[in-house]
Amino acid sequence: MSTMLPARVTDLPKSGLAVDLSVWALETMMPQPPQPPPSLAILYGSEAVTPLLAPLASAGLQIRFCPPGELQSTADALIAQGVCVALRVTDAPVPGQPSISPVLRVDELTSIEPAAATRRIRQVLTEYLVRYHPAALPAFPELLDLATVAQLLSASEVARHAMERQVKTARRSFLAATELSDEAVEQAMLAGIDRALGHLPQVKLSVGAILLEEDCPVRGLWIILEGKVSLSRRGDSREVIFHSKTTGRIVGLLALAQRQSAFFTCRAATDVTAISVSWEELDEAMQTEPTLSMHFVTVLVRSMSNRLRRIAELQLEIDDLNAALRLERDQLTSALQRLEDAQARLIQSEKMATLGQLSAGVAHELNNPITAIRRAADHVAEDLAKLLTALPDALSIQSLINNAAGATPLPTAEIRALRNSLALSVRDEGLAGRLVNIGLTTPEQYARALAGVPEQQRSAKLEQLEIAHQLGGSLRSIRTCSDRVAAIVRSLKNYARPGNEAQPDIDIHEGIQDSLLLFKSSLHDIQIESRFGNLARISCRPAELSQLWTNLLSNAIEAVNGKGSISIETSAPDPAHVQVVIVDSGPGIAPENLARVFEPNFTTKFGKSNFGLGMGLVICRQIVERHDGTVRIESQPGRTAVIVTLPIQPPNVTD
Amino acid sequence: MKTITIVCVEDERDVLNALVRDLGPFGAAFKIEPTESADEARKVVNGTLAAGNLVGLILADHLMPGTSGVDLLVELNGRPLTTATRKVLVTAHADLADTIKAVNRANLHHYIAKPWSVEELHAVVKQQLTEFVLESGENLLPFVQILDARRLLEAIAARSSDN
Repeated sequence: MSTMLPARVTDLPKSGLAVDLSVWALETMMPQPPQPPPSLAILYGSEAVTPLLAPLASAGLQIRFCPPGELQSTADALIAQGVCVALRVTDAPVPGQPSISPVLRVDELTSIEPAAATRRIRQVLTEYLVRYHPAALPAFPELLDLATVAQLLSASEVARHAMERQVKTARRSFLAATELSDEAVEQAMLAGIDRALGHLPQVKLSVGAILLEEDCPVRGLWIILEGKVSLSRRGDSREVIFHSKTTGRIVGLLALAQRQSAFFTCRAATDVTAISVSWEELDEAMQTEPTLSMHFVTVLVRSMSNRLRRIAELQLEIDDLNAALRLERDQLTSALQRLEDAQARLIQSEKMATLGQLSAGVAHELNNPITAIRRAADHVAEDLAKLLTALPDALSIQSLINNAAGATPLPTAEIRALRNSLALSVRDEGLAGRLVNIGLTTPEQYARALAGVPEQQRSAKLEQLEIAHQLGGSLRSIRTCSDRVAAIVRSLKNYARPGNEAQPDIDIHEGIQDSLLLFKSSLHDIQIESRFGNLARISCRPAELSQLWTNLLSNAIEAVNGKGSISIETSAPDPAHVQVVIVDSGPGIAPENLARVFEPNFTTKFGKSNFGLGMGLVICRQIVERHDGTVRIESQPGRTAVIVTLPIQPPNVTD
Repeated sequence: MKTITIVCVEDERDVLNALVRDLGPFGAAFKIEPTESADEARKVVNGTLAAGNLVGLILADHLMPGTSGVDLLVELNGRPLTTATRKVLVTAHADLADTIKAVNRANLHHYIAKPWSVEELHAVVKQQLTEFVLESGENLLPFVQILDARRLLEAIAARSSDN
């Protein structure tokens, strides 16, 4: 048995992922080298504030008027170009996600002195710069409200402590992240990105759109606001979906963590609304939002652990499926084995049926000519006798014919001895041979047979007697040989009796003798000894039993391999049964094989077959069992006995 | 002059009788010995050789109790006095392996399948015996009427011109 596949979760490579991530997160919080100052922009939606913004015209930032309806789209466009929207002045409500860029209301500015309004604008911009771009403060001297700078700088110590507290809180929140739901952590991260980067443009993707492509470089994160995505990877011949339920709202994390190309292809499974965040933007956001890194790491770890858990679940599912497959495979294997056995039996019985039809056909075809030959032999003898009555010495010729036709000829060796002995007296070996052939074995018989025949006619007379003798011999040959053919035909017909019906009153000896007759030409030097008991007739399927005897005899003949003895003994072990024991003098069956000989497909023969008659002991046992009988084998070198016991009245042989 | 014997080996008596009867025409110049087994054939061959005569042809069935026809032919082919004997199988049963053995090891000259036709039997026996008498160096004249007359007369002519 193969071992169960281990659930391999613990075998997954230990990448030290969490450690890498925290190092990376800390790096992003470290002071960064000097960077070029950011491009800044002020957007305003009312002509009324134009004069208020005029003093800032040379401060190094864009000041753009937008009609109130276009404020948002203009902001999106600027952000997309990498411009930071430092201030919006509008009366209209600001839609969408909360944004880090400060907003001043038009009426707030127009309701105070213009100089105060301008100072208020400078204050807000200064606070924005100090907060989000402190390194860029020297680049915008005209923008700054020095009082605010002073105030903020004096509060810097306090601010530093506050920031440290913020980081500590963030760390705690990371460590305590288990208390937050995935959704809450993701929301917090989104909010952090929004705060840091302002309002990022939303992208609409339709079903099937590809967000990330397998093995292609990943340029940033996707944050899914609405809809679902699926992650898949191409297998050898098909694409396999790995994650759909476990895909969080943020994709691209895996590639980010390993700084490589995408492992999965990410597709929109529904219509999707998403935000794309490039690495650069993410870096920027992490610098400005210290808590973001922690949220990010939390999301990352959550995402990884979700996927790990999913992998573990998948592994378990695979194990279950494998176990189910193994079970199914085992069942299929045994079903196949049974099918093969059944097929072998079918082929065998088909073969026997074909053989039966064939031999029945042959037997039928032979029957007519052999009947004609057999009858013709008698008719020739009768007509010959009538014809002979016209001849003068009809009587002696007729008796010679009758003798030759009726008597079994002497063995050739005996004839030769008689010839040699007669040759001594007649002094002519050729003549002696002719005389002995026609039954004249002594000089006296010869003299008597030719008595009264003139010397010159003796040769012709002898020839006539020889012809008469040959006629008789030929008649005898025709009769005995056609009788033999008729007997073979009868055996074949019994053997191949059409149908397979159960019949009452069957003498099992007939089937055994028929089988023996069919094997006559295979017997060669094998001594056959039959000891038939006086048995009751039984109910059986005679055709099947003929197959049985043929199989067993075929096995026995093969076992003795041309030289040895086979005995067939029948008896009644009790009044309700008959028993047939077939014993051969072959080498026997090895003990380790003896238990297996009744198994399907077991054979010790290699390609040898007795004209397809030997069908194996499996079939034999099936036949015996269908007759409610038993068959067993006892074997030792030189004596292998197959013992078949059959009930005289089997209960369900009619089945 | 030595007698040349034809030995027939066939365990089925009726078949043996038919074979001997069909060989009848050769009886005028050859001695025909029917036998029913390889053992009996061996005795007849021994007797023939002991009497100083020749075994010209052996026609053997293959499947017989005791020694098979092929084994008998192999055995006779190995004995100096019967190496020249023409050897013919008359059988319905020999399989390919038996036949190959007969050709390779018994120097089998011909294979006659049962049932034979009398024309085929006569042609084969005539050709084989012609070969035998030509090789034997015996006087060829007594065989001219029975065997292949043209070949025998050519040989007689060649012999007389040699002398």
